[in-house]
Amino acid sequence: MPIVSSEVAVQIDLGHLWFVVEHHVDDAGVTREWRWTPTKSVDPEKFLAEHAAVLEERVVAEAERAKAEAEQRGAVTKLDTYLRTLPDETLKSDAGLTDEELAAFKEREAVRVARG
Amino acid sequence: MADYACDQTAGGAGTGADWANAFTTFAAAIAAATSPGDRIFFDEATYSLAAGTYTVPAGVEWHGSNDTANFPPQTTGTFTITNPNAGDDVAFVGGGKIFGMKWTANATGVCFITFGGDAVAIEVEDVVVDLSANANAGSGVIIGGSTANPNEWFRSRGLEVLWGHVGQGFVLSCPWRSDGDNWCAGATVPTVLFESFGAAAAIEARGTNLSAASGTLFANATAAHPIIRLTNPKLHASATVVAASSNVYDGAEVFIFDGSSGDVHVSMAHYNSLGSTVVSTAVHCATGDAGEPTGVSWFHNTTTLCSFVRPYYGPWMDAYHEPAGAITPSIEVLRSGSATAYTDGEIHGDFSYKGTSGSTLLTFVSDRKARLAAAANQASSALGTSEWTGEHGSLNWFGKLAPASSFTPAEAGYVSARVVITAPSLSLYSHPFVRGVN
Repeated sequence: MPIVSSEVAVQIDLGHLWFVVEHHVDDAGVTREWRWTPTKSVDPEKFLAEHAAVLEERVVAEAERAKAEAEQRGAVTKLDTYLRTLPDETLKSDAGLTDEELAAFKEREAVRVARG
Repeated sequence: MADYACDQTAGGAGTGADWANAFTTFAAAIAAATSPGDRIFFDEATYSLAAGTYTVPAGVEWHGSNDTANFPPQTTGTFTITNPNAGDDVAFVGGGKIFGMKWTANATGVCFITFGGDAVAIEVEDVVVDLSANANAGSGVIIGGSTANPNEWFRSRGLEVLWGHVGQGFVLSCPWRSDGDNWCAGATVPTVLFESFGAAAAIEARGTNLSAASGTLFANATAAHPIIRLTNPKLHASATVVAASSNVYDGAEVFIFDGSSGDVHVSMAHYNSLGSTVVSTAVHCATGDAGEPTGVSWFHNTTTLCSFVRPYYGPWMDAYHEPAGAITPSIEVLRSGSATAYTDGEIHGDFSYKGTSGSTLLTFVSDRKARLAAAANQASSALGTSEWTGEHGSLNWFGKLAPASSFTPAEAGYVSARVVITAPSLSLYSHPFVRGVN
């Protein structure tokens, strides 16, 4: 999601510092803020492109992380469904679960519901 | 307690008993020094180590020294660690302390140095981490090991870190106590200095040189909310302290005390994902009260994430009080650029005092709107343009945050007050002084 527009939305003179809020809008129309307090020797306008580039990287990383987490959740759900179908003896012999581990596994809400 | 020498060029018995009979390998030296009080002295040489984890046992000291004429040596120095292969990682664990070491990362591959990760504390002093020859964005410095097994804490003094790519940075998963470090000592500046945090991460740092760190200092932590205190750091003029957060629960909470890029000694700042407080020297208030600060105000601003449910809590201010009857503490505030009063559903003051006789326990009061009540305008102040300086030319609201009624502290101690904002994207100046206490 590239940043399509950037602007300094707020720039307040704090004497020795600027208080700056930048608005960066991505191609989905989402506005992302960048807030910072550079010293008065700095021209905030000159940093808009640099901050937009950092935000773009961050947005991509967030999207990738969300995708990976969703895939992990999907896999766990399918494994849960599959494991529910296995008999206790198989879980003990093939997966190596102890009686205590098997009991703990069966305590899980999803397993309890599936097995009645 | 024993002292050992390590010198790869020694030709003696190899017992480590002195320089003439020094251990000639790093492995032999660290295998010998295992008891609390043991010390190893490494000459100022370069030791090429295989990737792996090296243990400094609890109470054991590793020292670099440039004095191979005396044993034990009398002057300090630095020994250098390198790794032979691309992508070699090295970790130092255990409860001991390393003095005078430099790690130079392999020039290629993703290389990490890790301090800790075995659930005990480790310390370093005068240690240099040099990634400057490694231009791989994935390389970095891990403090505290994995998030699943962070060490108790990491303590550093005089640690210098040189980076080799803007994508490199710290990964922190334990409390870090730092004195006099330089976290960005070389020419390459990370885009984000602290890339991620574990749940146990926190920083208490004094005198940190961040003057070259022109990027973002602290990432918006995922699933972590580290408290970070930087006392007397030197900052870069254009650094961003905390990255914008997309999640209300994310983000570091950073306090900066007397830190700036220049010769400004009034600076105090507080940042989190909900808002910030920074010092303004352009706008300030003079009430005439004894002991009040002059020439500065606190500028508070909230992010879009701030709300009545998730307020931005400004830093506490204290005023010492000896019980002598009822008091009504207050905070003078200014909305500059609008004459419309803020409501008690947007801003309020929190106040605390020792309200129980014979106890240190605090009692809290505020002028926030009552639960479920409709918001009403906060009280306007009797102060105005005569007392404030630097406010808007015509559009201002001068407010006063104070509890609805007076109270009587039961014990001597501090009466504290803070500004709390419960609305997004709101700006407010406050006079950093608890009025009405003395």
